Parts: sequence; C-alpha cells; structure tokens
Amino acid sequence: MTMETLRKQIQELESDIAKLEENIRIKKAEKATVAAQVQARIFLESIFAPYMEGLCDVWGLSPEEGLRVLINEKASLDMIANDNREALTEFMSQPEVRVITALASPLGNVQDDWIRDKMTVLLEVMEKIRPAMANIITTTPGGQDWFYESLKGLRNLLFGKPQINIEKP
Amino acid sequence: MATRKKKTEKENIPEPIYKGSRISIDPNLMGRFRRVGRNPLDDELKSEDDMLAHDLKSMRVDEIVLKRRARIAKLQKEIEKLEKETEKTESNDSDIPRISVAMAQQIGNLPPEERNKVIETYAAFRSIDQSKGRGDALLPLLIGYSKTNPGTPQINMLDYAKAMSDQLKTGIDLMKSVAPPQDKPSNVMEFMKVMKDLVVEGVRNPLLQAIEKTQPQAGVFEQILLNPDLRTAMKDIGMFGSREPRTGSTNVDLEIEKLRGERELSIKKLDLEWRKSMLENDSKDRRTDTLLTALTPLGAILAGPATQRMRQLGQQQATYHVPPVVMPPPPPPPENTIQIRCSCGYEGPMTFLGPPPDKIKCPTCGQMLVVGGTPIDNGNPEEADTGT
Repeated sequence: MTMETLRKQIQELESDIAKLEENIRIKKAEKATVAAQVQARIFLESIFAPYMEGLCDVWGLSPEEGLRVLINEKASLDMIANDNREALTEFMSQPEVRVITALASPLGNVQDDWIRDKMTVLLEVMEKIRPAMANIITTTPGGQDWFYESLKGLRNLLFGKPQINIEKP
Repeated sequence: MATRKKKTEKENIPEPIYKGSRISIDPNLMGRFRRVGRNPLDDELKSEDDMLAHDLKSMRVDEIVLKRRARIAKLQKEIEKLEKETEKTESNDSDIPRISVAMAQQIGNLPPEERNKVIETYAAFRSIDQSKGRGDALLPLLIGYSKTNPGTPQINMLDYAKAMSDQLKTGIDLMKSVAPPQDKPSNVMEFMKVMKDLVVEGVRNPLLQAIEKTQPQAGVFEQILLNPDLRTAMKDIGMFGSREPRTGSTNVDLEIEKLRGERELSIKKLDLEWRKSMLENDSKDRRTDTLLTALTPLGAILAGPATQRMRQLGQQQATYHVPPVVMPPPPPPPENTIQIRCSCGYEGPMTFLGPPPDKIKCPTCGQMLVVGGTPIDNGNPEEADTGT
C-alpha cells in the first residue's frame, strides 16, 4: 500500500470521524432535550400542579390566583411545607412517594445552576400544558425567582441534602 | 523440604472507561499477565523488521563486494603502473650497482683497508664483467673472503673473484643445460611478474573466499550489474552515487524512512478505524431512547397515586398556611324588593341590590315615583313600598 493511498484513507477516516462526532453531538442534544421535556412534564403534571390545586382548593382560589398570591407573598413551596412538618413526614413515608424519590434520587445531587437551566425547560413545557400558570410565573414580577426558589426548596425537602454552593472567584 | 513460593499479589489496574463504556484492552498491554504469548500484531511487526534487516544486510554485503572489487581493480592498475615504472628504471640505471642495506652494513663493518680492497675489487670486477647477476652475486663472496683472509693483497682477492665468477658462470650454464626450456626468462621482470601474480592472488583469493562465504547466492547488486537496463535505471536514481557531493542520505536510508512512514501511517489508520468503530457504536447507542421509552409509561403509572398524594399534601399544608391576602369574600348585599303603584295603573315589584334610591321611574309610563311616598293624582311621584 503506497503512502498516498494511506494518506487518502486517513483523510477519509478523519472526515468520517468528524461527521460522526457532529451527528452524535446533535443526537445527544436532541435526546437530552426530549428527556428533559418528559421529566418536566412528569414533574408538572404529577407534583407541581396537584400540589397547587390542593392548596387552592382550601383557600378557595383558582390555581392561577393562588400562584399569584404565593409569588406576591414570596412564599416558596418549601416554606409552606415547612409550616406543617408532620404532614410532610407522613407524605414522605407513603410507598408511592418513596418510589418516586428513589427513582428521582439523582436530582438530590444537582447543582443550583442545573436547576436554573432546567427551569427554562419546565416553563417551556408548562406553557404547553398549563399556559395560564406559566403566564402567571413569567409575567408576575418575581415570578421566576419564586419558581427557582421553590424548585431548590423541593430538592432540599425531598432529598434532604441542602446544597452548599461555593462561590468561585 | 520444599519451600512454597509466595503468590505475588496482582496489581488491581482499573479498566479504562470511555464515555461511560468500559474498554476491553489486551491484558498484555495492561501489564496484567506475564507475556507468555505474543500479540499477532507484534509478530507481524517483528517479521517486517526482520525482512527489512535482511534486505539491508544483503544490500550492505553487496556494497562491500563492490567496494572490494573496485579495490582489487585499483591494486591491479597500481601494480601494472609499478611494473612499467620498473621497466623504465631498469632500462635507465643499468650502470648503478644495486647494493642492499644489509650488504652495505657488512661492508661498513670491515676495517678501512679491507673495506677499500673489497670495494675496489668489486668495482674492478664489475667494470670487467658486464653480467649484472654475477657481479651482484660476487660482493658477498668478496666480503666473506676479506673477513676470513684479512691482510691479503688485493691481487689475490681479484684472483679469488675471477675464480668464483667462473664457477658461477659454469654453474649457471650447467643449470641452463639441465633445466627444461622455460617459456619465460628468469630475469627481474619475470620475477616481478611472478611476484605480482602471487601478490594479487594472495590478496584476491582470501577476499573472494570471504565474499563467497558471506554471499552464497547472487545478490541484488550482482543482478543489477548483470542486467544493463536495471543498472541504467539504478544509476538514474543515483544508486551508485554521483559526482556531486553526498547529501547525507542514501537510497537505503530513504527506503527505510519510507517504510517507517508507511508503518506510522498504517498505525494511525488503525487507530482512526478503531475510533470510528467506537463512534459508530456510540451513535447506535439506544440507551437514552430506551430510558425515554421507559420513562413515559413509568410516569403514567406513578401519575395517579402521586397526583393524589400531592393534592392531599397541598390541602394539608393550606390549612396551616393561610396567606394574609386570602380573606373570605364579603357577603353579598341584601336584596330589597319594593312594590310600585303608579297612577297609570302599573303595580308590581322591583328588586334592588342594597337600599333602593329615593326616586325611581315607572317601568310603564316613565313617571318619577318617590320611594316611600303616597300616590298623588296631580302627577307627583307615587309612594312605593319599601319592599320586603
């Protein structure tokens, strides 16, 4: 095999590898987006929305009105939960909840920055499945901060490990 | 009593992981096992090295053969040149006596009187006898005579020399008559030619033997030399060197460099092929798809109970946390219904939220009626009931 043939083959291989790497990168990004959307949908439909509905049932408000009240009051979800620790402990001991927390245990190690990134995905999905609630969060002043703090609080509440964020210089 | 050898503990070398996948590498490369067997790639590389070394060796042997042949040819030329020069010298300096260094030393050791006698006798006899061989042969005899008969008159030495010369001449003639006729005369030239052959053969034969030992078969260079076309082609590419100064790299070096380059490229190609196959496997990885496929039904299964539990939790928390803004709605104002009696004949109830106004219009004729007043015929507002 001549040097020229070898060089040509190497060039072709390098080109193929570059294409493959690009395809893999795109595919992975797509899959990551899809996975994040599925997870966001599960969170919104199974956790966030029912919780808000339960709160607002008692308060006699619609979920949107209740959400606006909480945002204005700056009462994040974990703050509300901490007001009744007994109910929370009982909730956490339920078999269904234990299964969910076990499955979602990797979320206990996620950093605050990761949560901020995923919050965007959550809002995008919320706009599709609960547009009124998404609208309240995005248009009410301090709505996104409230949502971010609530998500962080839920992580700490459900997985019991408050994150220590070391500020980088 | 035999002692048991302690087992050496194996080093726990972690296996490399590439993008979450464990990579299987030949344990020999990881140093995990003793190298009992060899890698097929190693064998191939070694055989390639051996072939290269063999080729290089045969090329070097051929080069040595050529160099030695060139040296033999050069020696032959020098010998011929020397022969020619000798012939010229011999033809020119026939009168000059050729006395060896040893002979001159012997003469020098003699007493001065004896030395003079020997020299004079030799010179006189040489001038008489033109035969070079005999004249030269007489000198040692004269030295011997002078040593054994010191103080003898010079005339006796001359007689001795003459007698010895005659004897030499008789002996030579006798030898000529006895010996078979020779093709070549036994003069100095013939001697030198014989010596030349001996010298040449003496130098050439061991070389040829050595060459034959190192080269049992016809080498590449011999084949090139025997084939004129091939030789011309090789000359064209500079295999036999050129009149220009060498640049430091021969064809063999270039060939070796080329082979080395090819090998490096082959290794790089193998590496790239391996990387490509890894990437192809990576691109076909369906784990994320499987996870996504499993995630949706799992979410659906858990959705029912989880939703219910979350709603319950929300309701429980709501009883403990009531935001100040969330106040019970104000009670609706009491409804007041009054009875209207108009002069136009209309009579009927009218309902108001809260207290009714002071004056109201009759829904039939539009006449203003005073709430709580009495009906008047002259058109004043009629009094209406305050309702129930």
